[in-house]
Amino acid sequence: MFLQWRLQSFNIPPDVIFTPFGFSITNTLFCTWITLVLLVIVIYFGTRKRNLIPSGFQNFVEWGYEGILNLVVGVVGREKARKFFPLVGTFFFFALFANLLDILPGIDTIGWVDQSKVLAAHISPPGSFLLSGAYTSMIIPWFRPPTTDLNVTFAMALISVIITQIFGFTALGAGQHLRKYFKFKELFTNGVQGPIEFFTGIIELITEVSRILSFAFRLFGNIFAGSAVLAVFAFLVPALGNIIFIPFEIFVGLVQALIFALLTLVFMEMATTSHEHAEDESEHEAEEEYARNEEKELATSH
Amino acid sequence: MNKKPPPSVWGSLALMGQLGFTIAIPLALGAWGGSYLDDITHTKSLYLLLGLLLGLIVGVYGAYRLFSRFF
Repeated sequence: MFLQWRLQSFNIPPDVIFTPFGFSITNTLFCTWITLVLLVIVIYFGTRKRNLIPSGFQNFVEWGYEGILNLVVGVVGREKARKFFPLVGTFFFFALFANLLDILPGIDTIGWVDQSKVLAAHISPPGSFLLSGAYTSMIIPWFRPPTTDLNVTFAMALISVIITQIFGFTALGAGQHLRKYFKFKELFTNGVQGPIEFFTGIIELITEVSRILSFAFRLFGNIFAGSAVLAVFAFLVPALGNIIFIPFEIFVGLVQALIFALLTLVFMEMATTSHEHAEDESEHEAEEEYARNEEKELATSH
Repeated sequence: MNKKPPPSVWGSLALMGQLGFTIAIPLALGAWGGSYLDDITHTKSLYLLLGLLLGLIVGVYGAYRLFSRFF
């Protein structure tokens, strides 16, 4: 009886662990604070003694920072990277730290015993801190990775999409940006094609809105499933099963953080690039090249 | 039209990940909205089918637009 345990239950909504002054503090909110504190600690110790030739921990922090910075510069160029990197980098490092909380010991396994479940099962409260038997499936964990809460990922997705729109408005101006979605001009000028083009504008608008859902559910789904896989394999093959799955979850956490940041970046780049403008520029360049070639031909023929 | 080179390997992979959602989410939204309208109007599955059709069009066009800037 002593060395038996049960698979924990997986709740999609987070559990409330404290209610100070009437506010409900959920375990994912608590872990969001832990994530923020960890980020502050890493940045503090990484930048405390700033040597021109970095070594040790400073080198490691600079390696991570420069890695993501170079990725951003590679996608959008140096000028736009200056504008986009603060947000994209914050998304990446926050999501990375939040995802990697998943693999720490104690996550999902330390917490209160759910008294209502104990009462419902008609057993006496546990006698010690270490739980065994039926109690192991009655834990309200104190720690749960923030990105396994749909509220957190949904908030991140909202921020991402709204700021993308704001960048679109400031880069192109309200008129040109709105003309991407509401093609009233094409509706009346392009004849039969007009209504189709107007409809494609509306489709673009729907795609923008559905992006909130895709961002939120991708991050939430991957990390929640990951933490469930870790729990199941810790239950099925104790101690050994997670030798495979913990490295795998580290990989998934890194890739998901990267994908969230990069997709935000790619959509920001798309929102701040004007189609009309790009076409004009390329046409202008082609005309210039044509003129230059003619000049050359003239010069060689004489 | 001015074609841009595709973003780096990681950027392209991220866009690939977006492709499935771009098709699936408008479909799901269309089905949900259609069945909601069916409930209100007490029609059998008229709006559900219309919603699915609309979602399919939006999804396929969205997927096309996602990559048409690069290729």
